[in-house]
Amino acid sequence: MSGYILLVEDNPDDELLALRAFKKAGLGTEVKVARDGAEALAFLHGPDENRLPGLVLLDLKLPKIDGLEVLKRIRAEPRTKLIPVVILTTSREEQDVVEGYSRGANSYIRKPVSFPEFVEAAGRIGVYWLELNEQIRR
Amino acid sequence: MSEPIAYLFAPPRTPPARGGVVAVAVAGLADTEAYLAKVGPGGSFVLDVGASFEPHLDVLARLSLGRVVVVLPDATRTREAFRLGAVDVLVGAEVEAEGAFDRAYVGRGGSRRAQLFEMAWEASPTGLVVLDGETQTATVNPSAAGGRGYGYLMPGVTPTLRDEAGNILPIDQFPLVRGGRGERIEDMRIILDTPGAAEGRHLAVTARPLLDGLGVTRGGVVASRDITDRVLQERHGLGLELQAESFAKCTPDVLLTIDQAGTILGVNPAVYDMLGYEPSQLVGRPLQTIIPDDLRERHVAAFSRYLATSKKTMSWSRSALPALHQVGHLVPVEASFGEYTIAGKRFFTGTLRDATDARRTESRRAMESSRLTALVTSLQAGILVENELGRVVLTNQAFVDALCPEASVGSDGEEIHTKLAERTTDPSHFLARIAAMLAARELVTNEVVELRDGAVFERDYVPIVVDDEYRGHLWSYVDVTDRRRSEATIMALNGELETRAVSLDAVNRELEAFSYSVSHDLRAPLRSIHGFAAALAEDYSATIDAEGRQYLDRIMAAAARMGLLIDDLIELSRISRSKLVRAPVDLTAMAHSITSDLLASDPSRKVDLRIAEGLVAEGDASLLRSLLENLLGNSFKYSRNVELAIIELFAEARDGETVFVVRDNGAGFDMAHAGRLFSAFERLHSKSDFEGTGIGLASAHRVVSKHGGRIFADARPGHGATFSFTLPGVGKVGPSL
Repeated sequence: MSGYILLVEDNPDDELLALRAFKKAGLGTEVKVARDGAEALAFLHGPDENRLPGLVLLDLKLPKIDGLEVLKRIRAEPRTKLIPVVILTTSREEQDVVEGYSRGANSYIRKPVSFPEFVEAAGRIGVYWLELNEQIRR
Repeated sequence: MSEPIAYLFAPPRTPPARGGVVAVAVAGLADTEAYLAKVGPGGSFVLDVGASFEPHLDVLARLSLGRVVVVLPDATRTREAFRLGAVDVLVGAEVEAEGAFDRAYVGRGGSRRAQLFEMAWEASPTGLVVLDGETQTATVNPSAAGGRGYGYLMPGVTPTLRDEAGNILPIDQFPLVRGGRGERIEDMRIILDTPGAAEGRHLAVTARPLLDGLGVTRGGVVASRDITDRVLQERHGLGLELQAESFAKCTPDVLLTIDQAGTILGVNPAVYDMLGYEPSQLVGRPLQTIIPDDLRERHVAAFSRYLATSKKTMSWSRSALPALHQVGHLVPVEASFGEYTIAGKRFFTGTLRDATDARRTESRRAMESSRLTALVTSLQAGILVENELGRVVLTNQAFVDALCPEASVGSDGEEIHTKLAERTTDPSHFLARIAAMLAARELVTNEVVELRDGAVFERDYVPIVVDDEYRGHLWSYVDVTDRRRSEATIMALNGELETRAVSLDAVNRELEAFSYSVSHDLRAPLRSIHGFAAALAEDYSATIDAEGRQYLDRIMAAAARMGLLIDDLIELSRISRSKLVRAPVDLTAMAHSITSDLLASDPSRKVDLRIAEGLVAEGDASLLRSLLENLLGNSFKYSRNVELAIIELFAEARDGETVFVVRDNGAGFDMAHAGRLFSAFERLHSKSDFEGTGIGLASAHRVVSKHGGRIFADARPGHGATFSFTLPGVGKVGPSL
């Protein structure tokens, strides 16, 4: 288990539900939250560089800088370009899915309405990206 | 008559016999009266009365007797006898009564006239024949006797005579025979065949009956005149005249005659081809009519100089000159002149030969040009053709009607343009353009000309160049008023359509934005509702009783259901908005993929899947997938209470089109409600029996409609449902059919 999860989410309800879902899924991982795109980029590209997240969960509809733009800048920056990014959003517009993958998203997951499903999804995300997936060691 | 009778007298060549004619010589008045009664009126009378004849003549005058010859003893009273009515006077001493009678009978015998007759008889070139019925003799003068070739009169010869047309005359029509019968003949023309000569002799015959003293016809006198020379001459002369006329008619050269005043007296028809005039248009007009303006003065001067001095200023043979055509252009001619005088008046002849190199080409061109003229005349475009001098040589009805009623062949082009300019919306611009085009002599097409009455024309200017030489130009005006109006209408409609398309586009974008926010923003609160209800149920289960727990379940179920509704609505809107991309789609493979997903979602189900092989449709893969998902999903759902569900997909041909069929043996439905089947949010089953949003079939319907096809259902409660649809453009389906 390496790193923590950076959750980029502007909806407080979704934030709370996500945190609960991670807890329910039994993921002991630390979760940090950025509430808009600008905050997320400040966090990733800011002075506290040593602690980069092991996974970014990124919503697309965000205030200030939207999710796709955040993704583009993560991939443009050498230090962050290899961090796994999973888009976690309500949209399943084909356009968003295509854009997300083409800008380098590692996965695209639609937030389910049903909480149990959400919990299941959260669990799977954590297990896959943080435990099963081979990370690049620094 | 004063000369002595004896001197004048000469006895007639053939003294006639006395019989039938009464003549009496008497000595006394009583005898005269006695004989008068015997002779009757009209008879001839010889009065031998010696010196005292007056009483006798009185009697004769009283009785209106005819000819009286007075015989006197001597010549002393001759004059008196004539004054009293005697037709002749004989001097009795020298004349026997017998001879006096004979002379009286011959008529004027014994007189100077008789002698003159005798001389004329002998000398006349006219053949004379006296046919005396009384004596049955023919007396013939020398001409008639053959001296001048009247051989037909010779005894013992039957000549061949013809009428003027050459038909042989029967003998009873011979002039001598008719004359002998006493017929009167006036100038009868006959031809006497002459052996060995090509042409017989032409004779003009006249005959008069011969009367005796009592007025009874006794033969006749026939006079025949030889007119052969005249006939031949006439014939020859007429030939020459006809020949000249024929030449004048057929020659392509123009032949004309003028008098010394320069007036055209005659001209042949060739002048029409060469100069455009009918002969009648030129006769009576001065020669200057066909002489170009710049040569007229010189012509007049040269002509008067010649009349005065007979000095020529140019060659009269084959001079190259220009002639002026009726429509104004110049025709090069080769002119030759001649002169003749009749009755002191001088006349001049001229021949004009077309000097254009290829006269043949010219005539062929004329033929082509007449075809072109016919073509131009019938064109709908208004046509005006001018020659190099700006004169109108051709126009048509369309031009006259639509543009310029003043236009006609021969009119001045500039005038026409000026008149036309006045009818345009911008006359000065119009004239400026005309001038510019005429100066440039280059093709100009589709120039717009607007008339003040609203008509709009497209004008072409076409210079006419023949053998590198500018020969005029053609103006063509095509009425585009209607077309322009249509164009304007079309442009307006296009503009409107564009505006609508733009607003439609805006609506579509709005709709997209709406769907997007529906999928994002409506779902977010649902997640909260569901999520926190779940949190309550889990974290506070100790403090919530069974009823409370049930309420929380209902909240979560409702939220989940609304999530499905929103998803289906988004799908429906996606179908409506998406662009149809047609390609061959393997429906069989697609159906297998869908049903395997369905089976995976409920592995406990036993389903007999009968999917036909080789089903291929032409359509949008993503939309057709949505269609099959809905139909097969429905079959799967509504057959779940059947022990062995049978779900089929196949195609069949109906009325020449391919119909795809999805059939199940599930719950089915009542066809009474089938009308609402394909509307959104309509359901035929209660939620408690079968879950669903009521949007699936609406989506299916939209997919089929979008492909231009039809979808219809057939079902019975408890006996399954059948959905059939068509997809136009499906040319071929698999071999399983």
